[in-house]
Amino acid sequence: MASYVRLMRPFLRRKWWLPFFAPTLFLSLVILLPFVLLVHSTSGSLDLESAYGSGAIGGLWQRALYNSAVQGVLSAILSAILGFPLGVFLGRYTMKNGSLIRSILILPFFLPSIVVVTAFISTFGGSSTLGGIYPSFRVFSTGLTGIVAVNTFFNAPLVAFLTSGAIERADVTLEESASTLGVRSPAMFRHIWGRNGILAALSGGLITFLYSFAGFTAPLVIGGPSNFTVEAWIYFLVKTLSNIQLGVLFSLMQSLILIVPVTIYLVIWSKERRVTTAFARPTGYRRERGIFYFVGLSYLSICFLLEITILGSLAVESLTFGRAGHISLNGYSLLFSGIITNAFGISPLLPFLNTIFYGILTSLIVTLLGALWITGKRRARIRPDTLLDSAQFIPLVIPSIVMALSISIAYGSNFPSSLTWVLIIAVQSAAAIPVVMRIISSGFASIPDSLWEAASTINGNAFFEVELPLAGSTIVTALMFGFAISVGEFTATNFLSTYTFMPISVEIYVLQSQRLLAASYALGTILLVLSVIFFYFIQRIGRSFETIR
Amino acid sequence: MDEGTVFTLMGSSGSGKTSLLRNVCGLDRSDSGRVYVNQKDLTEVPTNLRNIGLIFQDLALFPHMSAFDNIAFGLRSRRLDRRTIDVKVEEMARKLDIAGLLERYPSEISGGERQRVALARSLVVEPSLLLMDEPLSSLDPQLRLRVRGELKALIKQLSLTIIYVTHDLEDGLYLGDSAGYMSNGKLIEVDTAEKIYSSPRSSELALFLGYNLLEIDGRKLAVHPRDIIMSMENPVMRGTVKSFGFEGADVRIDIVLEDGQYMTALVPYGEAMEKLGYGMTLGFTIARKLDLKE
Repeated sequence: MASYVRLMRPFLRRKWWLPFFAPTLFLSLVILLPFVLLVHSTSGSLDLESAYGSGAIGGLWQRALYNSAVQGVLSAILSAILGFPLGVFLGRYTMKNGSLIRSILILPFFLPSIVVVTAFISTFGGSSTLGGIYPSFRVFSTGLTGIVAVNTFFNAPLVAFLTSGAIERADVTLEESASTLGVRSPAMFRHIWGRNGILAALSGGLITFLYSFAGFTAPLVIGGPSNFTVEAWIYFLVKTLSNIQLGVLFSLMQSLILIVPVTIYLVIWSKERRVTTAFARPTGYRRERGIFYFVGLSYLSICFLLEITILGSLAVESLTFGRAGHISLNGYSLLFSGIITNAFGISPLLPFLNTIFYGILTSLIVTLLGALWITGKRRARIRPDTLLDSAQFIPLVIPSIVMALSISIAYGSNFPSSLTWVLIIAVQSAAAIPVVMRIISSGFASIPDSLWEAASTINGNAFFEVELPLAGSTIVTALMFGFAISVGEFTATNFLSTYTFMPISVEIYVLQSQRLLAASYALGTILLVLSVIFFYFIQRIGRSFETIR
Repeated sequence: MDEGTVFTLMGSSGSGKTSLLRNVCGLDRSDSGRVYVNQKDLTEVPTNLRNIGLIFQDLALFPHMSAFDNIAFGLRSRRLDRRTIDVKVEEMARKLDIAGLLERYPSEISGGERQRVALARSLVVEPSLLLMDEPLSSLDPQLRLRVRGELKALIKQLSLTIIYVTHDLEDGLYLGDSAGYMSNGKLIEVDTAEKIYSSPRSSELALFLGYNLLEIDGRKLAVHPRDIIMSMENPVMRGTVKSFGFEGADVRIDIVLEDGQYMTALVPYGEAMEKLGYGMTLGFTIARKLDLKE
């Protein structure tokens, strides 16, 4: 015992473990412990075998799993097919206002899912102008096609963004030396610059699969029960049918299944070769523009047009809904009239205040946790891409709906309903961890260890006086992403919120389910505009945005 | 080490020099051994309380702070009053001849000036020991020589106690009152810089110093290239010229001896160049040879 204490003394004295304390406590209390409690509390009634039987439960689970898998696979394939060429083009060629073009292209990925679904309904739905003129387009606003279209619209830009980032970082000197050796383009693609792009596209495809497999908003709003994913069924089983046991069974099985793709994703992520900026493409590096450039430019223009059309139509429909050719503010006035308050008890301004409140607290919590976690890793000299890093991807294995379900069961009975906002913020923070952690991690990685070491040799406060000021733009970016994710998070928030604690995203869903489409378009447009403004500011805060690569 | 002296720790890359420094200042912990400064055991003392300064290879100046704030950083952490800080920083800046650039940021000053700011930042807190980890390695050759000279003058002027780590032989010999050579994590030899250079006892150090390692009559010998003399009359060994080239004052000749051993010689420029040709056989004598320990 004495020798053990002696061995541990230096570690305890250096307190390297202190920064890990809060993030570990958070992950344990918000994700792991509730999940374990959830499984434990229902373990007596859990019958995993029943899911594979031929009974009603088996049929339901197999159908849900089939829907999740089909939606995940189709969305991933389509996103990779559509996003990869775009990423290659953006990664290989520089162009005027390239940064702005990228920002606009990636925008859908950062929009609240409910806004994108609403935009699809407003563009292709039965009551839309386009859907009215060309009924065959309505297929994009309903059923499996609609869900896959929405998922692809969301994720193809992400694949393009990841691909272009990886291709941009390909070692220019390798490519130049290969060309002096007479290497031809296909071999150059295979061995030099394409390899990273393909890995990034695969990585993007896997993220698409994960998000689509655990898709919630699109299946719920435009899919209908025949297209419900496991995630949507969990919500339906628990909230509508009050069948918690079955919800837990589905949650557990979904998490077990998700371990495989998340692990593959982590392996692919770690395989990406990292190239130092010294060898990456220098600023102003310009390639010869041949036929590929013009083909790529045409493709980019089509994607650009499609995105503007879909997002723009939401704003247009919010002004012209039901009165083609005439501008009306009916939807907006309905939002702020007493009608909705009287019908649902939702006061006009409360969702706005809730959204801002959740956003601020979520961004602060998740950024603080991220900063602590990264500082702990730096102090303990834990190198990147270790097993410890995979902790930040726990929210991918235990998706939002499962987190919401488990946290509501674990703490719900002892939690006064007036504190529901605490649960909402906790789950939103957990959902934001994978993205915000990567931003902070990359931002801090660019600060040499020697700086904090130098500060500590002269007895200074390395974190507050050196790292925090140097990582300022990263921290601001992380705060903004935290806010944006909170605003867009729909799955868990919808599960947990009541009318009193409802944010804008959930109010849009309520309005849609009550067929108040004009008001939902109006509110969707407001959320879209807010998101775009936010995204604009994220972009303005330096190039720290690139850190999500 | 004695107070007010410089000990240069030399060795090839990966020999463990930087690890040793990091252990001394507490940034890393060793598996065994203890760190003593002024007879005080600092092994369990945290880095920030050891009062040991460290100047990093990249200098680690805080890019978001002016030169003044960089230098004042350690003093502020010690909660000194503002007036004392101003006085101490300005005094140190005067000593190091950087008083005119205190308002500038690290990116706005030259390599040599950055060097002095880093030195000032470490010295202003009056460390009992200063560690320097190859701080000249990023400078170009000309500036490096100038900064090295300035550094030595400052060291003597301020009577600093320094452990200076380098893989550069010239830096190590020039700056050190005493020197040590590390290889594979072990301190192989410690002596005065002159003795280290003139009488290496281990083959690792002899190789590092540029000596030839030869086996003659069953003895392992270190022979400095300048101690090999071309001699066609009564040579002690013969060899074939593999390559040769002008190196300023000397001509370097790479030779393969008759018994297959490889050797390099430095002979004065002039007559040598006229006599030399690729593949020709030459005879040599040895002016001075050192027996190695092994």
